[in-house]
Amino acid sequence: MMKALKISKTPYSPEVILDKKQNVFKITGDLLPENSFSFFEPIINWFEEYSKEPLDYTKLQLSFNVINTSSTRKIILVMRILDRIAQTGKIVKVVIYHLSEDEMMEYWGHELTQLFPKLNIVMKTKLE
Amino acid sequence: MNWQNILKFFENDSLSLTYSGVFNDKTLMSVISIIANHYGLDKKLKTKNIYIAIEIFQNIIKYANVQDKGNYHFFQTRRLKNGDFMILSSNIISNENAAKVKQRIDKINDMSLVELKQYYKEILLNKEYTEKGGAGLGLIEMRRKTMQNIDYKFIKLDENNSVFLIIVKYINEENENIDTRNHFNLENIWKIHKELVSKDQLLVGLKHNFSEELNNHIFNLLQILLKDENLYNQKLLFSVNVEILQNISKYAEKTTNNEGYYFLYKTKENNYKIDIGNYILNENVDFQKNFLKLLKNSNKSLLDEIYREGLREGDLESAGLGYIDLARMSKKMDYQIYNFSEDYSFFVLHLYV
Repeated sequence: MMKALKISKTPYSPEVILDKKQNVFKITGDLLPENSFSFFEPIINWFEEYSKEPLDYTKLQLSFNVINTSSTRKIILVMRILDRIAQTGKIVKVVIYHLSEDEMMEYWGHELTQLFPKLNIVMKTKLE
Repeated sequence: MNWQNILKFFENDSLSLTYSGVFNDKTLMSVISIIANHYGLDKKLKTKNIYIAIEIFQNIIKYANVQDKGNYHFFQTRRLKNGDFMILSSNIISNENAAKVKQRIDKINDMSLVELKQYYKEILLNKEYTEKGGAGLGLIEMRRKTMQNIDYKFIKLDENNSVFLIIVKYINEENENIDTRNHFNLENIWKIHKELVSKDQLLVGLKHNFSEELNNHIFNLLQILLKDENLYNQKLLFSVNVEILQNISKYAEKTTNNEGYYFLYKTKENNYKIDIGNYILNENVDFQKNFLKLLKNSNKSLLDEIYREGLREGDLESAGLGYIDLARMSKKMDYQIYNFSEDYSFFVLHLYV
């Protein structure tokens, strides 16, 4: 079974748990790493590996308070991989959590749904 | 603001920070962490300077209750490329107090260090002074710690108030290649500050190569500065500033040591204005100009479309996406390009949020 990827949270980068065995896929926290390439490299590699033999149902949970453009680009790369998985007939769901009054994150998620119309992307409000 | 004057004035600075936002213990800690981590001071000088910076910053906190209509309360610290270093405070003081403070500083400056030690003890033992404060303990400490005369200046604003500038300098006399005395001259500092604040209220001004570590310290400071805004504005302003600060280090010309300038202002209409500046190669000027002209003249929905198209189809690593996102988040975007030398131009981006 594929090894889980766990990255601890820092003030400007999120907590990452990608665990196929436990069926937990989530990235939560502030997403502002200046070097988004080095931060996302293991994440992208992990998803590439996962896409070779994905579970029948994958639910990725995203919850950010703020996100910079370079990280948005990397999230797009993750979405492209998930999109590919969905096209093989597997079920893929992406849940984006945002505060109810947080219009910026809501708009960010809304744009993602427009970019990937075939992916099941759901927006949910969170308490904090 | 005349950028040519600004460039000339800060030309030999390796790191300079001007802070004129809220003065409280939280912003003090943020500013101190920048001094502690980014000025490249040796351990001994670092401890001493942190102490002095706290003293100077708190001096402004003490006087910040005097209404500042002209952006005269500010804290500044600069390190030149030759290693010379200064810390400065500026605040408004009543003319009555100015006379008293001047007398006190002159008295302290006239004393030898031995006399000063004795005077310091006397004040500490004098219950009346220590309880009421105002005996100039901070000033005495400043002179004792720096072992220099206190350098100061009063500039009369009107019949009631003056601006009080105080500066602590560390000049290595063996450095001859940069004219530090001229750079750290209070008249010149005051002149350039007036230029910086001629239109809007300056909150933060920085010149550096904007490393990731420094940016994280500035983000801390921004979070404190923006906390009174509503959530939407807080996040919008924070996102714009993050994008900008990360862009300076990414796109500034490597051959100019990634040097860049950042100024955050609050306008009279309670909006924010951000100016960033960095050097670009002359051969890239036309491309940059045309690209920004396109962004400047595009409306929100067109910008959204360009951005999404970039994410959907384009090369995700291309440099333009950051600028497009900045244009989308801003109320207005503008730019200026100055020819600087045969090889470089200086590029300034103005964003109104």
